[in-house]
Amino acid sequence: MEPAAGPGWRGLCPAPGGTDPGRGSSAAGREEKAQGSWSGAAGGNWITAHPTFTEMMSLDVSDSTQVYAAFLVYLDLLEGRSWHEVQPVGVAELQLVCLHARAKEQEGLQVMVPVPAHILISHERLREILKKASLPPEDPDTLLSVTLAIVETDSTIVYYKMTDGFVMPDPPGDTEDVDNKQWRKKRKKLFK
Amino acid sequence: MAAGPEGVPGVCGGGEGSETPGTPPDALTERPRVRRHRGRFLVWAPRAARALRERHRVWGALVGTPPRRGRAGAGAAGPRLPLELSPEEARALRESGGATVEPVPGVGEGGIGGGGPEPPEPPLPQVDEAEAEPEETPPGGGGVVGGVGGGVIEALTPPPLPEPSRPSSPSERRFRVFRELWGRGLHVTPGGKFGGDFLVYPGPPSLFHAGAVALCPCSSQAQPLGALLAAARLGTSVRKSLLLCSAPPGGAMAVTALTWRADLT
Repeated sequence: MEPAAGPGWRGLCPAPGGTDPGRGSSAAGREEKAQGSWSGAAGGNWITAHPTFTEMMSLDVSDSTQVYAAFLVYLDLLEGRSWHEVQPVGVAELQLVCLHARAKEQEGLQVMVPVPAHILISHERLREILKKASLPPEDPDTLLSVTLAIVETDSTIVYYKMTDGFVMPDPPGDTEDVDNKQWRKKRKKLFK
Repeated sequence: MAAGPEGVPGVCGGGEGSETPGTPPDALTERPRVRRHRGRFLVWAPRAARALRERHRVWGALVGTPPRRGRAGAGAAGPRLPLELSPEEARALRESGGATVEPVPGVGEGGIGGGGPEPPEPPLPQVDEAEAEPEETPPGGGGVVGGVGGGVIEALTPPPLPEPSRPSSPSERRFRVFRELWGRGLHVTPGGKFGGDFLVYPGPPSLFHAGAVALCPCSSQAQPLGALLAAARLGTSVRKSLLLCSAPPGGAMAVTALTWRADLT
């Protein structure tokens, strides 16, 4: 794992108007070597000029690394996965920029919490995120949940669902298990 | 795991034998009897072992010597009695009144296996939270009491809860989480094989796969996110969710499940 204060993350958040090569994309980093200045090739650091990035920077979240991670997740959801209504939301209490988005137009809003992969985090903090960033579920029986979007230094993003509560395994005697092929094999072996 | 004739995997034989080798059989007691010896919690009686597994959802591990090869051992493969309980299992049973925990009778300070004199039970290095916890139990407090080798029995008064200001020891955290999960009717076994503290089963482990790997981290202590990811990803690959469990003293257990979103690959 990348060290917490590694150069990869130091340089991740582009300085306004600067010539940061945008190491958030490994492909961009390679391009920089091949073609000289990446920002020059792209005609300036477009990230800092992006309206959503500027909006995120204005959300009173001091951790610019987290803001940049949020922007990468925003791009991934909107451009890479064609999600709908991807909106940055600042949670001042948590000092985090979260994203609210819909996978499909008709589906419900999901909460994405972008976090850099190198951070240290406690269970208490995770629960705080879960409580303060999640949206109240439409169905009262549904457990609170958010999705952690964990951004690596090479801009790889991996998504984990975090649920408040015990995700109960199937109870004994569940019909799905009875019909399951493995279960049939095990039962045959046990009662042989 | 081999199934016993009466449905309990690994526990064979219906007859009640003596609980320790070389001692006469006892009359059937209502509560299973767990023998404590050198910090280990052993169940020798087949009926008691069966009762623990069938009635109390306490699985332990069969740690007896496997039968020798050849005709004598041809019929029953796999480990045998005694059933060794984890400290969490033994303590939960003791506190719930589901079983008695007693020192091995007649085994004095010399202990089984001879050698030099054994120190008294409380200072044993293997003794952990299932015994009286020295740092958290005042003199004369609850927990296991009595001398060594005298057949003196445990008191069922639970040990006092630790002060809220003091951080819990890992064993105390593990115990509280075990008690909560077990108290919800789940089957709980050690989780070392999947890098966790416990494996949580919806039914008997001989019939069901574990549904979750439980971790009991110190809730206020930060840890690398990558370590959590590794645990969650391993859980995903073996079809288990990762449960982060915190059970503060006197409070409700907080559980956070972490599962990989395969739809966002």
